[in-house]
Amino acid sequence: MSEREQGQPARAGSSRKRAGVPTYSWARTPPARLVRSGIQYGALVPLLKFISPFTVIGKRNLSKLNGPAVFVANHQSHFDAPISLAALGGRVRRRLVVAAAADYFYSSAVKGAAASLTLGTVPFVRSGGSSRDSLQFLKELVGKGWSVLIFPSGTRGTGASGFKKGFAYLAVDAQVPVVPMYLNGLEQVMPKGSFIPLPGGVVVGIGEPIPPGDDYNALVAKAEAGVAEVRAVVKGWEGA
Amino acid sequence: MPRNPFANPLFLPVFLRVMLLIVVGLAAVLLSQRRSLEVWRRSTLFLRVRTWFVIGPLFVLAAFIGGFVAFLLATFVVVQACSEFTRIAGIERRYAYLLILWGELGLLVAALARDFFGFLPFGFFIALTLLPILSGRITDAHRQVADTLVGYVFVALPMAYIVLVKSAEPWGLNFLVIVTVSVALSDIAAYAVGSALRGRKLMPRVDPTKTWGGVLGNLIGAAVGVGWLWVAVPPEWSPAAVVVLVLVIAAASVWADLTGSFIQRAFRTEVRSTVILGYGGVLNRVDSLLMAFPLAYFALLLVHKLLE
Repeated sequence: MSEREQGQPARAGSSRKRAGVPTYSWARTPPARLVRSGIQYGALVPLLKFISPFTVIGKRNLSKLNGPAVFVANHQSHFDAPISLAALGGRVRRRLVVAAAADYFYSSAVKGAAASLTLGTVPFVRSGGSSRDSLQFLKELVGKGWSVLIFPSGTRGTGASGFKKGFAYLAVDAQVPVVPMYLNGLEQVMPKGSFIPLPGGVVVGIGEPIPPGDDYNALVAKAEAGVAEVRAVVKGWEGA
Repeated sequence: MPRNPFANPLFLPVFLRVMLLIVVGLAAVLLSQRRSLEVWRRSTLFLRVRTWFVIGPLFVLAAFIGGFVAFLLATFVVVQACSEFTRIAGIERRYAYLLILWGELGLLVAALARDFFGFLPFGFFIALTLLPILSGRITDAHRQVADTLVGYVFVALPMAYIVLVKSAEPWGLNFLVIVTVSVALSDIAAYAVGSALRGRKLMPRVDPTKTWGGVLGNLIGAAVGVGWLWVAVPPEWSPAAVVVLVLVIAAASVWADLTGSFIQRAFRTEVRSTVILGYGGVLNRVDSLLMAFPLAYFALLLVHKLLE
């Protein structure tokens, strides 16, 4: 099977439920987005600034985007997604979904609904044939103008390399740029295995958008290099 | 309860003096740098001045508004500074949570239940020792308990003192504003005068950067700070008490510098925070104030007692 074919969905799922996981489409309706904006502006972002005051480097790279994009970042903590959302700002956040592990965040209906409403997450099946359904669903969302935040290492604490190809299938097939991000400091705030944050400063680096091209493997390599480049900038920054 | 800061006749004079001080600092730095704006905007000094334009008015506003606004600011400082200390010292998370919680409790007791303030340190010691006892995890517990105690005396307890003095003394607000601004000026002047004069090292084995020129700067900065905010000096303070205040602020700033260096070296850590642009951590910014505040307060009380 060619690389291009691998990126195609195994089967088309319904828009309401794929691979046994509901898609929580209500969470992307205007009323839910309004509630989410209220929660994020009124509670989430101020709380994050209190617990983990964050500095954003390279935010001007976001002005180079004029449509949806796939944001990829290293994954260290459950705080990664909320901090990334806060760092990206309201303009990007308004039409952004976060690919969240279906087996963890959507293990119960209440947990899934809460994550979808507050963070705008969508369930992403990490392994098996159902992951193709998840990818197809994300492609549909990108087609509708939604950007996607994804942590391509798949699980927390695996560093900023060894990215899985899912995001590349998404970006190449939908022909949207990939924006590399690096989150520094969250491994100390809430590392894997910890459920209460220990406050501390965080630096979020945002790199230049990478054009998707047509080669999945090449895009994965470019994204890893992009994240490494942002990491170097963040580490070299005097406050970090 | 929060108050309207404009109702306090001291607010505007203090606010304007603090802002003027920051503007003068910006002008001095710009003149001394003589670099293009683009280069200057990327420098640490630019970040520091930018930071002062935020924290200067924020501090004055919070101090004069009081109530939960001041409490929120104090909470932020306690939470972040305690967290930073636990990282520097390599303190386990459960001890870190206790330190932060007790730091918060200290602020509440200082503001709302002053009669129990004296129990705080002993209560912390009880809670701290109960951690290894109840969990049964005693390996390395002696070091964890000792280091957490240092963190409490270094960070959390002085923050509670700040709230206590501000709420208990009729001139508590004046004292807070004068000491905070003077300590900040003392630190800045130590850097400026120390860089200009250089001279003999003070304690090269502890801090190779600190010179006797810097100590002179500490003294000049403290004197200028108290003089600049003379409008806030209460009439009941005697001239002798003000002189002692200047000396104690300068001495405490030097002591805080050396203690900060000693702690960094003792724990052999390069942990750096990113909370305050240009400065790194909250602890780095407030450590001099935390050490100077209780010392200056008791020095002032002692002088008043002796002069009675």
